Amino acid sequence: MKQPEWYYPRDIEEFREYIKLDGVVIYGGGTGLLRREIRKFAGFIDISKLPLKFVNIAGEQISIGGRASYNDVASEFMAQKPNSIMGKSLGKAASTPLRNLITVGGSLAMAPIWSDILGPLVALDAGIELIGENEGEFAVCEAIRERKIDSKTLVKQIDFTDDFQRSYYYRETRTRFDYPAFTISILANLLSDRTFEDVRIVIAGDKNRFSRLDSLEDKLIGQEIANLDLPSMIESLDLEFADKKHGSSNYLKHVAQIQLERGLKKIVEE
Amino acid sequence: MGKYKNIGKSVRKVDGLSLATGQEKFFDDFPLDNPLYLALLYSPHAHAEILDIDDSEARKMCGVVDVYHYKNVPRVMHTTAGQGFPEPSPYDNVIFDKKMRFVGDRVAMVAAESEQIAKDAIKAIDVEYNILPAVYDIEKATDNNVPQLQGDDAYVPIPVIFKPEENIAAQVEIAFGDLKKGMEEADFVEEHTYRTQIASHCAIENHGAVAYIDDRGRLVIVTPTQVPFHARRIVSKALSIPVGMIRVIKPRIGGGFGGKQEVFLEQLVGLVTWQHKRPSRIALSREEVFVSSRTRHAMRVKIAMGAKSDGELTAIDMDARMNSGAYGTHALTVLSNAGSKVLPLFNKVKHVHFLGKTVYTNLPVGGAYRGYGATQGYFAFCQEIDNIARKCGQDILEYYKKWHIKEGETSGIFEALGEGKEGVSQYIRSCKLTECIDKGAKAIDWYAKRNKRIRVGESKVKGVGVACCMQGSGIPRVDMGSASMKMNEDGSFNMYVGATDLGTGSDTILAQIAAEILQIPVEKIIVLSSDTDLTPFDVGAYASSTTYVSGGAVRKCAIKIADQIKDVASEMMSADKEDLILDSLYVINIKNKKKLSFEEICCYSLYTNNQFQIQAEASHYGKESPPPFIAQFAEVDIDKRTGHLDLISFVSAVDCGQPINPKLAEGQVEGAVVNGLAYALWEEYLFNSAGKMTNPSFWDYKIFTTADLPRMVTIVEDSYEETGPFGAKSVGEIAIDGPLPAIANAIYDAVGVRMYEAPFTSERIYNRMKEEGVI
Amino acid sequence: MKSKFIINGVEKTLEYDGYSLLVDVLRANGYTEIKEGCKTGECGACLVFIDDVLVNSCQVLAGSVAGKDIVTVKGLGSLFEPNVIQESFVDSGAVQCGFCTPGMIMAAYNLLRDNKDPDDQQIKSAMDGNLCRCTGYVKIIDAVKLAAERIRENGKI
Repeated sequence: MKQPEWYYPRDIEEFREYIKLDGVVIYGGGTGLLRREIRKFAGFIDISKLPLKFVNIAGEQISIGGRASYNDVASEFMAQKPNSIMGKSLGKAASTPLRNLITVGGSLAMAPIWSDILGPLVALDAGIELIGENEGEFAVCEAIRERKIDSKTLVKQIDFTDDFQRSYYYRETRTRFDYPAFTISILANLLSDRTFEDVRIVIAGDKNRFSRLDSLEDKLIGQEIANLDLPSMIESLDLEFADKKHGSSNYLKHVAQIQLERGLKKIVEE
Repeated sequence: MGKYKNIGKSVRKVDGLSLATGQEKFFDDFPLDNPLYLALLYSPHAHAEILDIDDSEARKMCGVVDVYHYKNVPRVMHTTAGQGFPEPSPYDNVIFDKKMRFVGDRVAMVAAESEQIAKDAIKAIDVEYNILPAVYDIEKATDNNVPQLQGDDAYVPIPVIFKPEENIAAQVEIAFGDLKKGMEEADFVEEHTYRTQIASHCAIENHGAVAYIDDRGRLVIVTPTQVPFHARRIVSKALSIPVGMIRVIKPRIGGGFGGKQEVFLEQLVGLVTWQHKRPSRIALSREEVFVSSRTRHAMRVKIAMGAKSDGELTAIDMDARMNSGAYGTHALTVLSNAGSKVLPLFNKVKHVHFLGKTVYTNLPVGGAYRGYGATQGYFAFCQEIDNIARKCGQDILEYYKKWHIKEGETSGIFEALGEGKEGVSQYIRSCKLTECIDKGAKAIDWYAKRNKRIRVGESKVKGVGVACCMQGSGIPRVDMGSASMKMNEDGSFNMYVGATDLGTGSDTILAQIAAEILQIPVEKIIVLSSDTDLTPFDVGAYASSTTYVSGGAVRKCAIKIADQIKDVASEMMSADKEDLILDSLYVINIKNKKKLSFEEICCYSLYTNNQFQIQAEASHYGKESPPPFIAQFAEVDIDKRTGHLDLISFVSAVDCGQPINPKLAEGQVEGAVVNGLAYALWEEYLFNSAGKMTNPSFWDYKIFTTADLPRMVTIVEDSYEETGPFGAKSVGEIAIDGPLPAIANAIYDAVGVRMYEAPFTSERIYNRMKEEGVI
Repeated sequence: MKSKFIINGVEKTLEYDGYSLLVDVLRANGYTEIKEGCKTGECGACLVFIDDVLVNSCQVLAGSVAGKDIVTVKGLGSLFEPNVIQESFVDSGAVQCGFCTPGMIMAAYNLLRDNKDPDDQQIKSAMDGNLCRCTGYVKIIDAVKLAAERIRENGKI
């Protein structure tokens, strides 16, 4: 029977050599690759020896290696920066053992519509550094929309500044161990009079795959929640979903609107 | 009671530690010597005729040993239902047919040197289909212009209604009193139609089987089956191999819940191994189990109740239509149970009518599943009771307490509705349902929450609901179990039972029963079960029969053993047998306090004088099927804006007679409940327009994890059933009956809308609220 | 391909198909205590520790595990020297069919080695990747609590 080759690059240079081969694919230890027909690949590039498993939190500057697992990220954030959306989002995704396997880079490479990491990184305006066929530094949005992370491109690291005092994360699921129909990520800084100094709102899992609600953000800046007609502001947004197993497009839209309203109210509490 | 050594004690399971340390073997854990691996090709069409199969390319592949399909496998009509012979299910199944009747039906099989080669070879089989129109709707399946799904060679082995020309797999009707008169006597009549969905057992171990030829040329099948003896017989029939040449062994089973009360893979390994004289193995993937094993039948129940203004029911009319799927296994019996396990609960209703039809459709096949029709029947029944009680302004708990069947009473349904033949009349000897209702209500703080719609947070509202149910303990005068025992020199005993432990702990509780009779520690009983060569017959684990029926056999057998021990002791001591008692591995003469150890007695019997082996056997069948009873309560918070449901508490109070092992009895209740909760809220089969299941994985077929649990309370009420071993009734199924209706009733309590369709997803609850104008 | 694996402290050289999942390679080589229930990472029956990290072995390609430390449930305790968690499961009535049990024991071990006094919520979260259809989880949660109590009394896991 046909057998694959296995490559174990010890540094980036060695990695760059291997991706020149035909029919090889990066294996980062995550679960994404296994959803595909792996027997068609001629070889696997195991990147576990590359120094990509790190979570560096230096105050507001954060740098996360592409092979950091969801648990790596969640536990570091819950310990050092518990208010951050990163701990809240990745700590709830999938299940305990799967969070040890799902990697930041792998999630972004597959970028499935149900990903828990997409919303937060878009909200944080994260940048991503890629090595391989599509080398370079990109905004996460760009890398995803232009499908830059392919089978021969790995995520070296993501970087972002997280100077938000408050964060809110919501995932719409059926049972608790479930992929989300959509997620809502909200980041905010408030002034002492409880008006929004800065706010970021991202819905992931909609028809655009993810949407940053900047028109809503603009309407909130300098405002106090209590003075606003949130429901009609949200109603006027162009939120659309596909029919999913969790619910029909109409229902998901209805629930997303309500949960968005609740999220905005919740984030200004306490 | 309360004076037992072993009964009512939560002793450790005899296989517990072995399982917890990964030592015990399941079917796929046994090393096989150079086996053939089997893979199946499934139909991509819901309804099609195979015009031709070309397996030549597959046969050419290196490592492919054989390919099987309708052209080269004998066509023997049989049923895959693991039931007593003759089975009350249509013989509408063959191993490989020319006609495909659902997406997932079996086209062909490859036997190869490795699993990967077998899977690759499947793809090389070329099949030409003539696609036929498919039928999915149970209401339309019996119409004139709809294709007939079964062939002309399908038949029923017993005289029951079978109308394949109308796509009717089974039909049953009973009536007593005068329904029309009963409805006229009523002050008001309520009629509603309820629908339950197709569901999967989701045993964590997927189905499979292995087979090998032993050193004497006999076929040995090792399979996670709930029905080893039925499996042997069905394989014998399907493959035309004498029963005496087949041995079926049940290893540990990783869950069954009825899904493994079906004989549909054993024929495959049997076929290959018998022909090639090599071991063979088939192991289904989770997707194959979802699509191509068996399911819980979906059912539509139209129920009408006539009531007086004081709540007294004058008439009940139940019209059930069940979705058989492509084949009719368990078509009659699950259908019958929707009436036979439900209607007796309110036994004083004089005018009752039950009409049931099971219809063929081009969908996955329904089979046995814990609750077995009662679950579907109670969904309709307990909601209608809730409705009637409300309409009469009655306290529903007092309503149940007033009208439920009581000790000393009977119901005409027991005799009228059997399982393919006449039922058996019986009087209720034990029923603690009223006590269960009271204790359960207290545990959930019922009166503080009922009809109050307590607000929770910004937009949630609370509701509580109740459902009371009964089940059975085996099929009376049908289910039989048998046991044999022999004594060893150290006072230990080998016990052989046909009864099938599928994780329920039957090996353990049967040992407890025997140990109690002999007044010895449970560890002294060495249990060997479910091997058709070594253990005597037992119908297997279904119909909640093991504790009551197999336990009865064990009790009788142990009594014979005790008697023989006393015989030997009386000879040894020259004492009167009446003066002897058994106590903690000794026989004691109560007259002079002299005693002999079991060791001394056994050695004497084996070696010294009048030598014989102390051994005995006994069989038992139930003359009745004393029902366990349960009262189940749900507390929910409904988000009125989104329809999201928070499950807050679930309480079950059960009367199962004297529990042999309380922790195991509770475990049966808790497992059945959590299965029922997921079934109520999220489990369902989704199909595309071509009849293909679109969610055959845990990814989109959602069952509960620990993170979904509500507060769970389980109460086992003091009770005693005189016809059961040490007062026991069975408890394996009943707790799955209440969650659906209890939660539906709680939803009504919270927001005033009735859920006529399960599961109650957030969107369905939301839509119902909109439909009823609540929001 | 051939690689050296370290399984429950013992070094073994195994030959396997380079596309294989770890669960299949281990089971084919006699480690049948690891169960397989879904092949999609959802049931948790196949849990192992790889270099001390709890993962679903059906979601790992065997080729990436060479030279790493693999621990199965038999590495935590045996029939003759069971681990306190295994004993607690049996004492609590948390073992019915036992198919999910090895995975449950692994998840419980993963929790209790870092947290010897978990509350209900923490226990439920720690076990959220393990499906059981027999027990309804109630006695499994009891078992983990009992094990935690015993571990606190003994001072070690």
